[in-house]
Amino acid sequence: MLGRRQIREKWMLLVPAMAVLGVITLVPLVNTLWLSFTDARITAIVTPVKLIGLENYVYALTDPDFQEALWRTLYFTVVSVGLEVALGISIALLLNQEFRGRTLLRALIILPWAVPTIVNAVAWRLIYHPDYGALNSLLFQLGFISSYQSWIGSTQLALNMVILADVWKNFPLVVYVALAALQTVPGELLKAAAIEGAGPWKRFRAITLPWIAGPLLVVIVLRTIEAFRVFDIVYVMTGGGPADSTKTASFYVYQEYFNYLRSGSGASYAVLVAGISAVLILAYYAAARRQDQGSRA
Amino acid sequence: MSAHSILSVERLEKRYGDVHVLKDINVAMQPGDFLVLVGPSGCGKSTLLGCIAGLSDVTSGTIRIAGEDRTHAEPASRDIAMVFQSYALFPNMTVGRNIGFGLEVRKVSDGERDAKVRQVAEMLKISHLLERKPAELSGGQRQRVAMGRALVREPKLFLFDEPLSNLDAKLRVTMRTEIKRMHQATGASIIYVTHDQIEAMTLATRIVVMKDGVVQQIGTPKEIYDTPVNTFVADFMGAPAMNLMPAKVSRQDGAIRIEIATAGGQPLVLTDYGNAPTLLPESPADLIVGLRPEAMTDADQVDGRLIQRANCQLDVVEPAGADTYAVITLSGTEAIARLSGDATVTAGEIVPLSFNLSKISYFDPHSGKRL
Ligand SMILES: Nc1ncnc2c1ncn2[C@@H]1O[C@H](COP(=O)(O)OP(=O)(O)O)[C@@H](O)[C@H]1O
Ligand SMILES: [Mg+2]
Repeated sequence: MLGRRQIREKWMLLVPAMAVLGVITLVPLVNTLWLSFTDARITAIVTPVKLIGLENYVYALTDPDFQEALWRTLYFTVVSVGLEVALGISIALLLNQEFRGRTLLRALIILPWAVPTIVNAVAWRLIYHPDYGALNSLLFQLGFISSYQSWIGSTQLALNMVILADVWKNFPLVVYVALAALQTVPGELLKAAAIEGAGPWKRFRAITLPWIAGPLLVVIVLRTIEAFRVFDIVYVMTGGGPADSTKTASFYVYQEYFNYLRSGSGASYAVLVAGISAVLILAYYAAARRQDQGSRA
Repeated sequence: MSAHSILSVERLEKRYGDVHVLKDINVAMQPGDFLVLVGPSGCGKSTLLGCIAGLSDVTSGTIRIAGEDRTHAEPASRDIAMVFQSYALFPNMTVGRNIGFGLEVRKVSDGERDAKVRQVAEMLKISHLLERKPAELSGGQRQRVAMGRALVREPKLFLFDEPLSNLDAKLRVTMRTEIKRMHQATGASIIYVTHDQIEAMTLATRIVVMKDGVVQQIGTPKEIYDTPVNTFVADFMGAPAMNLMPAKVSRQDGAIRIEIATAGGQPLVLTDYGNAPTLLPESPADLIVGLRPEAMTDADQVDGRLIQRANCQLDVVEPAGADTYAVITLSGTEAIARLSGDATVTAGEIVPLSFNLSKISYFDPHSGKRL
């Protein structure tokens, strides 16, 4: 049992943090939720705001363009996070081996992540440039393409090219988290598994991966949240084009707020984007728990 | 080396860069042997075990298992099992899956695997734990699971790396007995690493004493105990250790005269009739004489030949239940005598002690080698 004094101390310690959290997250969150049920607009003069129930949500969800944008965003999220995790783990496994120059390579690998998103986006736009881009000249000289391509000018390719740029920027984060986790895998576990007859792949699946799953889940959740609300890299590289082929869900939030000045409707888009990423994250946790329990299988 | 060896290690060398960890190791082992590698921490026992298991590459030399050259074989293909000091249980798997992991990897059918796991669990009395995760077990239970994982595959050779050193003293003694019982019941070939010389003495059929990556002596526990090849082995094996006392030794009428300085000034003089004086250099020499504590007692019947009496001043008296240990300063070293448990001696007292010379050892003071 806590004494009266301890209870008071507990609250004294908790209140400042709760106050900060409340002001910077809870208030805007509640405000956004409330706005999403209204017809609020961004105006110079104060106009009365009316509650309109689910109208904004019905409008958003029945808009076929927005639906398509949601699928596009889901594709972007799944593919980019998937590639980042696969690439990140593979490179972390390599960097966890002993070889000369390992320390230098470990330091260098963080560089793409250290570059600001906008700078990364501009750099990749140059790399993809249809006339003097490095990608064209590389692939052309190697003989993979017979003529220069417009990589982000093609509705077929643009989204995947943006994904590539995003993967390049963000895989180092996965490398670092995975590498840190890999260094905590007890060597004796792997030795024991080797003696029991497990080959490299089985050792990875049965020992290493479960051991690093916790930290990996954290970085996957983090990247999923970021990827699902992706905006800046797309905005700089393609502006959502060509022909809306890279227009992700966040563009609708932006568009409703800042092009059409409909803050009520914009809020409903924002809530939907946040809600869907929450569902994705819950799915990860469910999968992780099933993996944990199902390891008897 | 004999064609029947379950293991033979020949001229094995292991270096980590400049560090020479194992030097010219030659060890052979017959099926059913319980071979204990013993030596102080850092002497290379685990490294040698790792080489035998295939967990680390050898620099040069040969490792044969059941007659076949396995020097460069993968661990999985050596038909061995290993129990680690940390147990190395897979934390994400249940006890049952841990035990059956080797069978799972080898694609043994589920039914057969379950049956074998259950049989081994029964033998180790852990059947009720099969569904638990390692984190939910006590140290002793984890130890049993690690043993189960090794036993279930019935490998040719078992490797144990200090399996008991993470257990408390009482459990260690219990598990030691169980390991010995398991060995007697199965006739398994076991290599067992420990830094604990009591474990080595109690478990081994043969002991390999190591120091600084060099094998000092290989022999039965009795050979190692009674005739250590050098002062290191004499000192390391046995608790309390063998008393190693500088002494003036000379030939005398077909016997050996031993003169040991005492704190009182009057030297302690003993005559060894059992060993041929030709063992010694011709002229009187300063040697190291080794006598186990139990060869310096208040109990033995003095016969004047093998067992001789001399008065000694006891500096410290330490009753230990079954025995009483007494410290005597001889040649500047603290020699320990083992008196009977109900001896009524006190510190400072001068007491007649009987010296049993039947197992006396002589060592060269410079090289430490046995004469
Ligand atoms: N991977 C390694 N790199 C360099 N030196 C090592 C390595 N592993 C062990 N050693 C050295 O080899 C020696 C023997 O170690 P080890 O076999 O673990 O000793 P023991 O098991 O007898 O305590 C030690 O001096 C240790 O520092
Ligand atoms: Mg060791």
